Amino acid sequence: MSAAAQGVIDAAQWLFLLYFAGLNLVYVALNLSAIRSIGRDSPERAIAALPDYTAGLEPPISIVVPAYNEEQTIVASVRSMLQLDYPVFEIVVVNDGSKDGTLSVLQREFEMRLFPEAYRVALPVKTVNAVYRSTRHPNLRVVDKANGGRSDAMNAGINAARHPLFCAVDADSILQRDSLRRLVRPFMQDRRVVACGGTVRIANGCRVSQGFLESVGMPSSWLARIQIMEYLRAFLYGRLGWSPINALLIISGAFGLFRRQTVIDCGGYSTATIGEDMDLTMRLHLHEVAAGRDYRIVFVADPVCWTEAPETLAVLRSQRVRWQRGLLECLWTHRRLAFKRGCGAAGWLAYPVFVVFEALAPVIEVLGYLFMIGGFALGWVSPAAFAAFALLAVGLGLMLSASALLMEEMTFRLYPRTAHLLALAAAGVVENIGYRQLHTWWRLVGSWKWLLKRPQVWGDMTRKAPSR
Amino acid sequence: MFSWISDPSGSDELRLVLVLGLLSMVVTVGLLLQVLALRARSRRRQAVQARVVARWRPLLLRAAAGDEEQPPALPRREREPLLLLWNQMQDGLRGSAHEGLNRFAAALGLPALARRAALRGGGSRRVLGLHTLGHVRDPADWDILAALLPQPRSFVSLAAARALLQIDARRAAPLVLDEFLARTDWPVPRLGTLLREAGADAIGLALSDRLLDQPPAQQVRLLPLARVTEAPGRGSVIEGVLARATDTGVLAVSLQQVHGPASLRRVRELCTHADWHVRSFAALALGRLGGAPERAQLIAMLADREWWVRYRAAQALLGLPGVDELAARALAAGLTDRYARDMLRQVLAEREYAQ
Repeated sequence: MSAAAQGVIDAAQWLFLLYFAGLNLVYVALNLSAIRSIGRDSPERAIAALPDYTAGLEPPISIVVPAYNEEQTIVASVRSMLQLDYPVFEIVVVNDGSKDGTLSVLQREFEMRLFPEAYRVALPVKTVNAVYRSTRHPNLRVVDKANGGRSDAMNAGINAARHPLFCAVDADSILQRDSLRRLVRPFMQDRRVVACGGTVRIANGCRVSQGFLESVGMPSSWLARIQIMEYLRAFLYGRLGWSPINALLIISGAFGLFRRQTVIDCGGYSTATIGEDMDLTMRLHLHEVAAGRDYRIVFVADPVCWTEAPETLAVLRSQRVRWQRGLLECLWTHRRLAFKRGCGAAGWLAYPVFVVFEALAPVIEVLGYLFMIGGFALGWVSPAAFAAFALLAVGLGLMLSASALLMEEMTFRLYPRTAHLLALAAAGVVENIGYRQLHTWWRLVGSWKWLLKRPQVWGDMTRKAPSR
Repeated sequence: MFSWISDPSGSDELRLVLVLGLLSMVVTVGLLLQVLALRARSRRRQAVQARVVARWRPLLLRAAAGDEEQPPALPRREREPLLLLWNQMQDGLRGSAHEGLNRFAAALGLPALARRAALRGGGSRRVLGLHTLGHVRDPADWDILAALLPQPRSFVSLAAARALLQIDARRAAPLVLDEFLARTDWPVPRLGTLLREAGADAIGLALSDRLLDQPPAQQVRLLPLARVTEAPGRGSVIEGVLARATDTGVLAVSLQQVHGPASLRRVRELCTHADWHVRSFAALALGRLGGAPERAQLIAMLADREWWVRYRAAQALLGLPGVDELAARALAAGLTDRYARDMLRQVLAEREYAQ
């Protein structure tokens, strides 16, 4: 091997090693932060059997549900939302120009009548055709508007919302009956809170009835099981790790609670990005810092929302490509958040970490795989070194998954059977062999599409019937 | 530098990578074993809990009903689950049943156990202990509880506040309110519930004293407590606050609570305030306090540039005496401002739907 080639190899090895060490250090740090956060909240959870002193004093909430071609699921979703355990709330469904019978099933099932609403345009949106109100449920309204995408629909719903807090909910989300009570707690405890996200869990394998989760189960699909582990890691130590230092850069669009006026003041949801939930969270940081306010964007680890995960590789691929594009779009659009004065850990820590270990991860990881495999094939990397690195990479991946499982067991213990835990542990192993590499490739494709500015195709999510 | 990767024979670096890889595997196995151990411990706890409920619940029910039988011995591992069960029953019972349960607790030595937990327990044990001392209502525990009031952990200090209010609400109110003003971590709704539980009469004076002489930032925190607790005499205090306030937060919160006609003039003035939050609450207050003479001002507010002011003005207008549906429809038809007309029609429709 020439000296130049050896130099390139040395440099590449340094790069990969430093990146690998940095990535795992970040994960371990997030893990420790999350454990500390769990430890701080555990006494409150332990005394949950005692009376809740704030019951009945919760502020009213507007639930905003954007719906596009949700004819199959919308009725069950709205029914379940109407039964939420919360003192005062309203539901604003936004029919975003659906081509199917979304509006007509809502009109029929909930006896919706045309309502002469003085529609308030606090955020610009596509034409609003009409507002309907249920004669059976006074707290249910439907805003019918021209198609403009999820963000535009959310903005239309925020315009129509009457209460100071609004909750963004996907039309197919399955909510816990007490989800709003849990999510509103940070707002009641701290006036500085402007947004709060909750944990989203995978509903595949669970028993759902009338839009509510009746019992937690384990899906038969390994792809779904792997996603359970992904979500456990992402929410239990990903978000819970960032929350205590006010550095959350994303509140999931599937379920999040926001101060309406603050969101209006920072321009509502952006229609120019496919990562609208992350975009809004980052804009909230920038807006509050610019306004010179002491604010908090927080996360509650309580499992409050359940969603159906894709069980086919094609749909999962489309989702992950879209997520990576959304991530890159948001990081690029809000690059001024990086190292911005006053932005605290969000700008000085979370943003750089997201750029280096999330945005660039697919490129570095794919290069790393190619380097190791190519080097091994060309004889530059010895079999012993190849095996040792593979062992370390898989070992650390497994350790992080096991740590997430431990946190789950320390806190919510949602999976009732020991067999469930073992199945999840097995999914953590399977994930590291094949799936992780495939996932990295999908993310690389997403990055490439973002670079080329190709229009995003959302792809269809194959849904099962709402009641299983 | 990295030649060991291609020629690893005997290199320390490769050994390090191998050791780290193996170590991560060992830690993984350790974590998984801990998961299983936690699951087993949780099962054991559930079994003890079920045993405690089955054994002690009937005895507690009999004690609550006034039966004074001597309780059986309490095994060590059943102490904490029993304390929790005893507290749950105390929270769900009314009247003389408390005394019966307190006698039962004394016979078992639960107050001493609770004192130890309050002073030396971890987070949840400490709260359970404080909760118990509150139900026991022994004035001898006052100093222990007062010393725990400034605890930095809010759930511990709030539990101490509740226990103090349960023992002697009148004596505890000034202490608790001063602690609330000295810290920012007590959620207003939670403290409001504790004060309401304690009884409005007991806390009214302490609250009124503090409402009048605090800076605006503290008045904004105290005013909701006055509403939640419905403290007697709060009406005149709130009128006093409203008359003197200039801070928009204080104005908005006090406008929500003002009820006496003495404030009508001040409310009228605030209908043209620069801040729309204040205007919208002033519109509502005007509807609540005023009569027919306020009609013209509310009609003018229907044309306000802010949606919420128009909405509140329309609601207030329809609540005025003499403004029935027919009159409101005629009024809407005669309005030249489109925004005012649309708003009045919306609120009319809302009223129709509500009937």
